[in-house]
Amino acid sequence: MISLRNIHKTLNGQKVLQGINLEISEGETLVIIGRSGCGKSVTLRHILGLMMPDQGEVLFEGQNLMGLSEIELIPIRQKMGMLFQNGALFDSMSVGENIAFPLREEGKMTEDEIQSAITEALEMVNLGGQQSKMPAELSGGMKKRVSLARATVRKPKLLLYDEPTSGLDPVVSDSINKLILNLDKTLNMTNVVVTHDMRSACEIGDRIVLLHHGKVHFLGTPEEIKSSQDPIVFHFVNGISDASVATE
Amino acid sequence: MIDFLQIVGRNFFRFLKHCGQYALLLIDILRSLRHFSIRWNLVAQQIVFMGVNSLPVVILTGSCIGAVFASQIHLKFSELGMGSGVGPVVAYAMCRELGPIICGLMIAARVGASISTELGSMKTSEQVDALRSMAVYPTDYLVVPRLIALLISMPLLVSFSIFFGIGAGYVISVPVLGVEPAYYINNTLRFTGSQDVGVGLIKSVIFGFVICTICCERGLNCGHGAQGVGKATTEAVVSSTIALLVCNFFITFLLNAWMS
Repeated sequence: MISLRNIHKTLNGQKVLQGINLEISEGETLVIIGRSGCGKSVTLRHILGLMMPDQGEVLFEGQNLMGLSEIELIPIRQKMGMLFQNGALFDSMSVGENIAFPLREEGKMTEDEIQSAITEALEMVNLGGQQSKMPAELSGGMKKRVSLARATVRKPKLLLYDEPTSGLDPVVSDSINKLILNLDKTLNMTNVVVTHDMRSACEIGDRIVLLHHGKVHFLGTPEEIKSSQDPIVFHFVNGISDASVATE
Repeated sequence: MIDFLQIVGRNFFRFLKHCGQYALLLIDILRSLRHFSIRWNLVAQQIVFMGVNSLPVVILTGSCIGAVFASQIHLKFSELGMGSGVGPVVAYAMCRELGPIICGLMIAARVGASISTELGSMKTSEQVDALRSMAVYPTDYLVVPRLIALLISMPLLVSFSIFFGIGAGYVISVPVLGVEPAYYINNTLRFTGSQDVGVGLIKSVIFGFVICTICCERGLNCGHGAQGVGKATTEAVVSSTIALLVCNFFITFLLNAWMS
């Protein structure tokens, strides 16, 4: 479904991605892990076309996104959804209006259908009846769940998650993981999840990719990554700091 | 000396960068107008915020300027025995210069600052990226409605500013300073033509365009965090104010040459 081919990206003079190659199949959940600043979120932004690579190709359903204008990207982005790290809810709109936004933009539903879609989406993320609240009135976990409801309400083919559990307590993190698994089952979406949270990665991922110094360092199943003896993988999975790895 | 040259060079390149970003935004606006229909509901919301809510400020500043200007002009004109000449001078100045400029400066401060802060905050909190991720063209959603709303609102606001400025000039000149009302009104109507009002309205549209595009550009290209938003807002207000005054200079000469 998605192919990243030899992606290079330099931001503010720093080489963030140095030749990323990835193939993501339809219906799979791929988790991208790695240390801070290794290019996980930048990779996600390339998939959505929010950033264009300096070199390389991003293919979505066989179509190369490289060189497409913002207007040409619109029909492609209609098949995608993204959960942003801090929710990115529109603070001038209520929860209900935020969720209705992509549906109203699409313009295919009547107002009654939109209202029932809002109710359904909020119940799915266990926030039933909260549509009139403003984003400023929500906790971090609630914002992420509303953002998840907004990202999924259009039932996209591909859903991108940027650190869905960062900054949340373990209970809320677990509920977000369960939501992702539930969405995966019910809507059969392709998911790409960026996270630091190894527990979450193993729980939701079909495959896990570890980025290191802007390259794919390891790609395998959760079992394979847990049993890997590669020092970089081992240190990351077990959360052990190692000066020699850090300065490599 | 080298430090001075470095500062000059850095600022020159920053200026060029802003010019480039501004040109790209203008192209984006044209592209958006070509590909998407105008979101009139957002335009209406912005007219309320930019136009209707700005009316008290515009009326107050227009009235104050008209009153003070009439008082100052009367001081000298009465020495020359031309007290009734205050009316046309106030009306002429309000229509051609004071009305549009004072209104433009107030709108740059009130609306321009708000535009750049709002768009800057949206950018730093990834709301602009969220729009793009939901297949919405940010220029179409954020810039075009604001631009159209300000292009509609500015002539109306300037009209109010001119009307209340002339009215305040009358109140100061006639009841307070004792100018003969019949002469005042007659001279005002005789020496103030529709083309004077036209100049003010043409200026108002250009000022609205300048304020909105500069402030949108600064907001959408702001730096990171609260500091980035604050800096963008300051730059937006300063740049749009300077641009407005420079534009006024050239428009005045062009219109005078065209109308003479």
